[in-house]
Amino acid sequence: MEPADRGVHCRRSAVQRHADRAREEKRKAKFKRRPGGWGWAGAFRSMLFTGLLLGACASAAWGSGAEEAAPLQPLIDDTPAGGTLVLVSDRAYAGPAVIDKTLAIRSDGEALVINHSDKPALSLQADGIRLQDLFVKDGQIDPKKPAILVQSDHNRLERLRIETQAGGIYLREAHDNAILNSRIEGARGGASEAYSRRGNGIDLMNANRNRIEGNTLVHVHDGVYVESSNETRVQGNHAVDSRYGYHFMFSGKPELRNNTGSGNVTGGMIMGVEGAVVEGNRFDKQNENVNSQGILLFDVRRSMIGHNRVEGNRVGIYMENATENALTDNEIVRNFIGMQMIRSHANTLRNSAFVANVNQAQSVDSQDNVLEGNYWDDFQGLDTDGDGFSEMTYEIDPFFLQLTKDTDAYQVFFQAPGLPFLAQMFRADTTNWLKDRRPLLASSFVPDGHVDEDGRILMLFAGAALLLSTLFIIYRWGYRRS
Amino acid sequence: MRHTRTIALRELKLGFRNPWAYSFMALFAVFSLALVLIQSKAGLSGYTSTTGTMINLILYLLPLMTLLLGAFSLTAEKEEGGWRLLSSFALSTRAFICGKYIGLAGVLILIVSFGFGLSGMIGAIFGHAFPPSSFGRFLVFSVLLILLFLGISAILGAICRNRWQALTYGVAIWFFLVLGWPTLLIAVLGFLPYLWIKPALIALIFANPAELNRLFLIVKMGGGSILGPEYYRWVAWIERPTGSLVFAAVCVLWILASVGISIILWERGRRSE
Repeated sequence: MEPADRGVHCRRSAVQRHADRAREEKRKAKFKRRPGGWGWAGAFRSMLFTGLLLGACASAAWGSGAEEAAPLQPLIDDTPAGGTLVLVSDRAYAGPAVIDKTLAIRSDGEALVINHSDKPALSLQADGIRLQDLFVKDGQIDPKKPAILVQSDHNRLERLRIETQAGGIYLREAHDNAILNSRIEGARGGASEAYSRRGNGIDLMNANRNRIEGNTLVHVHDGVYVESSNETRVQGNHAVDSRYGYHFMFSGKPELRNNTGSGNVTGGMIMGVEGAVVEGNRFDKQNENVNSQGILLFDVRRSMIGHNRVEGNRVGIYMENATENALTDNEIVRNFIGMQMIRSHANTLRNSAFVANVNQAQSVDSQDNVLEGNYWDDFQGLDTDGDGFSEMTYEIDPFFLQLTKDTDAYQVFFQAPGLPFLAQMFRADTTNWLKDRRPLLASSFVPDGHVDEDGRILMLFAGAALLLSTLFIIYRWGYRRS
Repeated sequence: MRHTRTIALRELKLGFRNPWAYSFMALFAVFSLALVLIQSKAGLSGYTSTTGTMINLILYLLPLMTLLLGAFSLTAEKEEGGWRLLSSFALSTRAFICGKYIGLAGVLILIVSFGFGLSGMIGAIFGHAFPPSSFGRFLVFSVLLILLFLGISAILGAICRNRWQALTYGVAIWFFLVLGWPTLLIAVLGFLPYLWIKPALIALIFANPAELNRLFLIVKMGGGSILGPEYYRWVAWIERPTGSLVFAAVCVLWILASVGISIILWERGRRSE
């Protein structure tokens, strides 16, 4: 039997069994009743109910999705442990449902699971459950409650689509699970919905060794939130228009690789973590909020932050109380401030490119950091031995950060034309400044290849028109003796 | 009205006979062109180092240029006897000052248009062009700076007796509003109680056309968040279309007030002669 056939068969038999059981119960109830009275009416009703169920079953088998949602729990109850429950695509099923035995629930296309209760649409309580190709529409609004709650191990959730005002998938003391290629969309109010009224997309608490890969998280509180959970692997996900794209708190050895984030308050927020690997991520346009940054490292120790690209953010990489981290081969491009370093010590920053940031870097109260071989596009160095590195150091002036640390209101002087003049006056002792002792003079950094040809031609004509009309006016009304 | 027009056209003619106009035109064109060609392609759109440097170049050059050309033009009328001749006709002071203002604005706008046209065109040829939206914003920003600082220069021209005085005062005002502004403000505001600093700072921003324009441009370029949580409401407000309208109204008010003061001062000088 083809898997699809087997699925339909299995599903049909489950609905059938449910209908049979309902009929049986009705029959028993009828026989318990006194003869006479409304017994015949009851029998008629029972028949009608059964007919309706069979009808629902039949129409469901043909894939019509317009009718009432069928309760999901009985179908799960009727599927034996180790079996597969195949839901009909485009058909609606009603949650909440608790899965307390190892089984697989999937659909051939995308079956809809609707939940109007205040319990999770699906609760996974047994190990080794597989969920695949489901569309969960959750009606909860409490951000603390998820659409899917996982409290067991070795489950695999794949190609799910979740729409909810509350949380998406929450893992509680659940280990070795995989959440793959799913899409979680929160906050029906869109980007204007307050962050406090959104749930997290994927939320891990005391859950170890889970894999979160290839998911898309839109309009949620935090795309992926990981707390007190070790060795979480977050890879190839995409977080958009949320508060934090990826948020790690007090977790050991998390891996954040090849993810993207765009338009969030902060792309990657890593706090109280040791041994993190943040690699190959790309965070763009985290610049709307006054607290925005591409990557935020707070109290992060002995972690590796490499090959990331932070572009167009308010602050590219923000580090506070971060120690002994290695930052290498990052590209920090077009941010308002490239990097901010506050009370951070013994970090190394190598082979990174700082390009077109309004302010390349700021640093206060940070000592013993080693900066080496980075490219700073505003730096004109001097290479006397021809090794490609400047013998002059690149110095990062802490003046502005110091100025605004005490009085926030002075932030209004950011890049004011008169500020270098003032900073110059205070430039006395530079020994404690953050310095790149061997700045790279030419970078292999290549900006994104899209050249806007239309814009260029438009500019060519606009520039020429402006120039010619100016010259004409100057000649006609200015120069010519009339 | 006819008088104003005549004076404005005369000013345009006089303006382009003045070698200062051409030297400023060359200066502005060369610097903006150099800037466009030096900068990396990565930062041409949005608020980046390239656009930030462009803003600062405009802020260094244009106010000084405007103050000097404006004040010189008015004081030259006093020194060279042009005004003495004109005042013997039935020419109102208002028509004279307004005509001068409009004519000078024309001269200065043509100077920056030449610079922008040249750098825009050559930048486009070499693939370093600003996108049209940034280009348009810079042009509007420059024109506004010219119009506001020309108001100040009109007052300056009414006060100063000769070009030397105008030069000294002009450079002093430029230094005060552009270069020394943060230094002076931080020094003075340090004496205020902490809670007064922000309101005082905002009030003073409205008193400095260079800062007012700069901040407005940064917010409109999407860089408002860099001003930090203190200005969150202001930024959100300026980002809205009503913010632009109010900003335009403030600019118009600035121009009317400064030209009005200049007319009063000039008129007083005329009577005392």
